[in-house]
Amino acid sequence: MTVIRRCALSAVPFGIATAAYVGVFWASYDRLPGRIATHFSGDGGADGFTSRTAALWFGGGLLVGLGLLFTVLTLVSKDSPGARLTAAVGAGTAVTLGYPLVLTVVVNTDVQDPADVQLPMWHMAVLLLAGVATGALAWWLTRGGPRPAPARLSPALPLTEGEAAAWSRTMISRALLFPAVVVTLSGLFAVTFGPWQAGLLPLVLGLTCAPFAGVRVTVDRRGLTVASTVLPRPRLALPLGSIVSAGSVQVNAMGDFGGWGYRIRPNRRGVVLRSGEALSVRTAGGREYLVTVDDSTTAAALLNGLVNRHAAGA
Amino acid sequence: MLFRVLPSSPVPLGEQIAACVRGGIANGTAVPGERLPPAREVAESLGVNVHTVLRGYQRLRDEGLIELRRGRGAVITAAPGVADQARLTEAVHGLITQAREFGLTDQELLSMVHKCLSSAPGTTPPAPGD
Repeated sequence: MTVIRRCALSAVPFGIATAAYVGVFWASYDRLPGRIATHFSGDGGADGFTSRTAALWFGGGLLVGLGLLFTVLTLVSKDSPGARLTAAVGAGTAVTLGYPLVLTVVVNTDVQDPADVQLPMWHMAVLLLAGVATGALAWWLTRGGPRPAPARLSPALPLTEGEAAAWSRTMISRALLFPAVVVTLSGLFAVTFGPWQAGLLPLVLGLTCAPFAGVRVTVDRRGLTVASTVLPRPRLALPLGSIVSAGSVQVNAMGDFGGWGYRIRPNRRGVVLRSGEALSVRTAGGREYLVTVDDSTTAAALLNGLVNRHAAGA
Repeated sequence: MLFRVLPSSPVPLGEQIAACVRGGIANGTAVPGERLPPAREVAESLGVNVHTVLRGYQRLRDEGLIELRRGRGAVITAAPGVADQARLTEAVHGLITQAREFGLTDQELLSMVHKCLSSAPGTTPPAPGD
């Protein structure tokens, strides 16, 4: 399953939903009342109304916007396992949204008073089932994707007896630092010039995220340490005794971990600040830890060398 | 940046640390503008005294390979040609080590370099101020 085909699987359901919605709307435009019923209560009666034009723009915009979002998400996920889920959720969402939007237009057609419009609750069950079924179909269609490449084990760096060795590298993620600074500044602006309650949340959020945009990865006699460049704690520390092996691996932040930051997946944890080269460490507990960092082959080789010497000495 | 030191070696530890950074700059694993780990952290990692690491860093600053600034720590010089400079400095250090091994005095080594320079083809660029 290529990336193009998977993207098509996300884009096509949204395309069909948008075409159906706009098509039905256009065909019955003159037969719709000026204000149409767009929200319904539990008993099926209408309780929310929107003007005809606003409803068309809102519905069309929602479908096109979400369609673009899911296609882009599938595209950036590339060949990673997460891409399959993104494509499936995208296709399911298209049906779950497209069905009630089209239905709203149909039930509003040829009515005099929009307050009389009924939309029975059983349609809820239909749209949810149809959404899940479409998602499952897309999941089935994207089967057989390539498995994630296992971490390539690096050859151990030979260390002589008594030799002290350490590897350290700083990584600063501009993609994380920039938004954190912007959020902090906007919070500061709101606190200074507006109601302070409004600025508190962005200020706290920005100040919490900013220190972790830069991390230092250290491999030495103590094991692996990942810490912020400005704060000593919290940090990720794996003692040498708990490490089995290390390697270098290519990761896709969106596809493999569903985003950036400290990510937790079954048996896999990672400090993911970007996509690309990462140091992969396997622990005695069977867990894999990943840290996105340049020159990871050197780090892995040193870690393997230290682990070997530690095992030989123990 | 990979640091490897052998405490039992006759080469002072500070020099060994400087040689690691120099080698990294020379082979391109350390790029201009890159920040070196703080001396305190390197000292903890290697189990050596922090002053030993600082002596190594000061050596690199004297060679023009890194910049030491208060608050910013040690940063590899962003000037072009820093890798070439590191390679050349490495070669000079190698030359000195070899001369010592052969039992040459510093004066003998210098006169040897002078002789080779005077007979080497090509001209040297004029010294500044000429």
